[in-house]
Amino acid sequence: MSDQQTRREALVQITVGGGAAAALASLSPVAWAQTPYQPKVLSESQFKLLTTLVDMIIPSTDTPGASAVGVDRMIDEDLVGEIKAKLKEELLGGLSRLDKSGFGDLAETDRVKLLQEYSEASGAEADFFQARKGLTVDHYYSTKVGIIDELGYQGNTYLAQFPGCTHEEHQ
Amino acid sequence: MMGAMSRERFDVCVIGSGAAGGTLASQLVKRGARVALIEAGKYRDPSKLRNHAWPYDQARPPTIPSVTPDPKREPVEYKGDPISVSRGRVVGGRTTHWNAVTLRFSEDDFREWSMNGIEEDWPLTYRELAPYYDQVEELMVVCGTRENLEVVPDGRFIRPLRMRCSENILDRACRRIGMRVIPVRKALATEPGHGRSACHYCGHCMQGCGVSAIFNTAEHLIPQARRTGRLVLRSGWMVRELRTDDEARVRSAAIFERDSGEEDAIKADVFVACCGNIESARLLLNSRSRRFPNGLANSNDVVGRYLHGHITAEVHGYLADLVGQKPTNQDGALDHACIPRAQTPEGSDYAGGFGIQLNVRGYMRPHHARHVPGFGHDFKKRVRDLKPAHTDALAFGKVIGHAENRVSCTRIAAMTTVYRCRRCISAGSLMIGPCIGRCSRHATRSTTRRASPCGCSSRDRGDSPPTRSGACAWVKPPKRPSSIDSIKRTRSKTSSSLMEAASRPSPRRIRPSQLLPWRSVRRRIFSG
Repeated sequence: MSDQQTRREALVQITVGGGAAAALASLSPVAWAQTPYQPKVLSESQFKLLTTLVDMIIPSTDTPGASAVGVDRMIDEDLVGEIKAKLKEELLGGLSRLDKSGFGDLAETDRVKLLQEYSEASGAEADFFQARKGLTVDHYYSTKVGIIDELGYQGNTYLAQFPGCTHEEHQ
Repeated sequence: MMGAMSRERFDVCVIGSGAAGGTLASQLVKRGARVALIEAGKYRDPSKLRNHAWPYDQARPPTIPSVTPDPKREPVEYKGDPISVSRGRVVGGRTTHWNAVTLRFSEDDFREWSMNGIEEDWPLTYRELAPYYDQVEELMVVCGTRENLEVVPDGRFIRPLRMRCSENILDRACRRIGMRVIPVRKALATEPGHGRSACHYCGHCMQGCGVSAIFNTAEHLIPQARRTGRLVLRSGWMVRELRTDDEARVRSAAIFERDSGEEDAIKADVFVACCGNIESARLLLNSRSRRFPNGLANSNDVVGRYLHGHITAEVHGYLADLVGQKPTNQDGALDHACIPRAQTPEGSDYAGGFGIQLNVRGYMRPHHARHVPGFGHDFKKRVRDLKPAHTDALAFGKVIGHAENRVSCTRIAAMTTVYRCRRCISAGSLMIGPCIGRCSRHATRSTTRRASPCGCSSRDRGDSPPTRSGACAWVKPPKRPSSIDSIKRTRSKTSSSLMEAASRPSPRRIRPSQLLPWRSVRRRIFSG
């Protein structure tokens, strides 16, 4: 294990450059997600709704959930820039419809029920749900928590040998 | 402005430094020739690749310098049907970013007219080419196993890749239906001692190998050839046209530097265009003169025609044996195992066979996650449980060359591509469903609600019927390749990515030969 650590460190030295990486590296992902955040595009209430939504899609279990690793703020940051106009329009539209339906005030079980309907329906609401789910999933499983802690990915490293499948039952 | 180079006369001028050009130039130099190698791109140091960087270590949004031209500096002009050509401009060409799968053609591949009534038989046989395959495999260093399979003849291989769990499970199932999963044959050093670093199994092959364990002309051939003093590399220079003399012999190549616009000419006895199927055609088409009004070597109007590549179709599924298993490092060397070409059944309206590459997408990301139904605790657990079991199979099918599919150049416009995929042999689309389906009946039980009856979810294409899933329209085969059959025009699967033409106006006048197509699907990630 210590051998692998050394390689990992070497790898980090070789590959990680740039200010953003250095800044991120100084905080654990979860700690970063808990620093104060001022939404860049969404309003406070829209952002709150989004936070609720992403946490319903990927809740906290034995590993942190979506908002704990900052998926909500990543989606907000995605909306910055002219080029994202369509995404923005679609997201804001969906959020305001969700807001009007009183989603924020519903009890937990009713929210789940409503989202269940969305996820199985067709039309604008289903599209909205699928799109948010897609973004949430993409962002969540791009974080260290998602890749390493949640899914147990062990690759992207240096191996002297690739052991391949060593299970007798698979041969 | 005339450069110093103009005064020298080379034995050979090779245009393009990729798999063909880089290798040719190095072999010529080895045999004593003086060679000028012209490459539009520049050298990129693979040790500066950042492909080990984690997604969360990259700046958001990611800013990725690419090997494709800057559209602001080289205005993009596009005309014609969109196709995808995965080529960047860089010393080493495509060998700098390829998966390096190098399967030999079989005897039957050289006589497809005799076997299947399509295209033409080659004017040479496998046996005649086999010694050269040996040479090339030794040059590139190819790993693999000797399997004694007719469809992919064995070669000179070094230590093979060890198969992953999913590939062993699929192989077990495939054997029951007369098919095989074998370790891929790939130009990859799987062991030290071949004059280059051995693979470290990080799974980033396609983004460019940071240690050059994969064969790359820019690392393994060109530097050695330059050390002899007989190879002159002009990187960052484009060939505008080939110029002929009064006796209709090509005497010089008019070149310009892409950055500065400086012009020069290269004189040589022999010129070889190795700049990819589209750029090579462009070069010949733009080398017009009074003697050759349609471009060089084009009196019969064939240059630029019969443009064809391959179609692909992909299916994803889950192997029941692996659901919920403890995760292990499965990265390996990306396209790690393959199902050698299997013949399609009698009575189908397509001919030949198809090959399938397994698990081409890498293991870092859960590619299935978006498609797992639901949300919440169950969803999250399901994604985790299915992660080790997710497997994908990418089938490759050959597209028949048709004269109508072509690249053309006009004096005033950019390149025009016409690409109508009419009928393909080796139906990736048609066969992959039944094939994986048959495997899956033996080996897998699909674990999603999206599963199709054959037991695998054809995720990327929703519920499209198998005959359409390769995004090719299928029609009855023509009796002869030249016969006109009904054209069903569809866009190829990759049509979402545009084939583009970039122009770089000359200081004096715009010449069509400067209107250059470029396309690179895979962007290389560089640190600076």
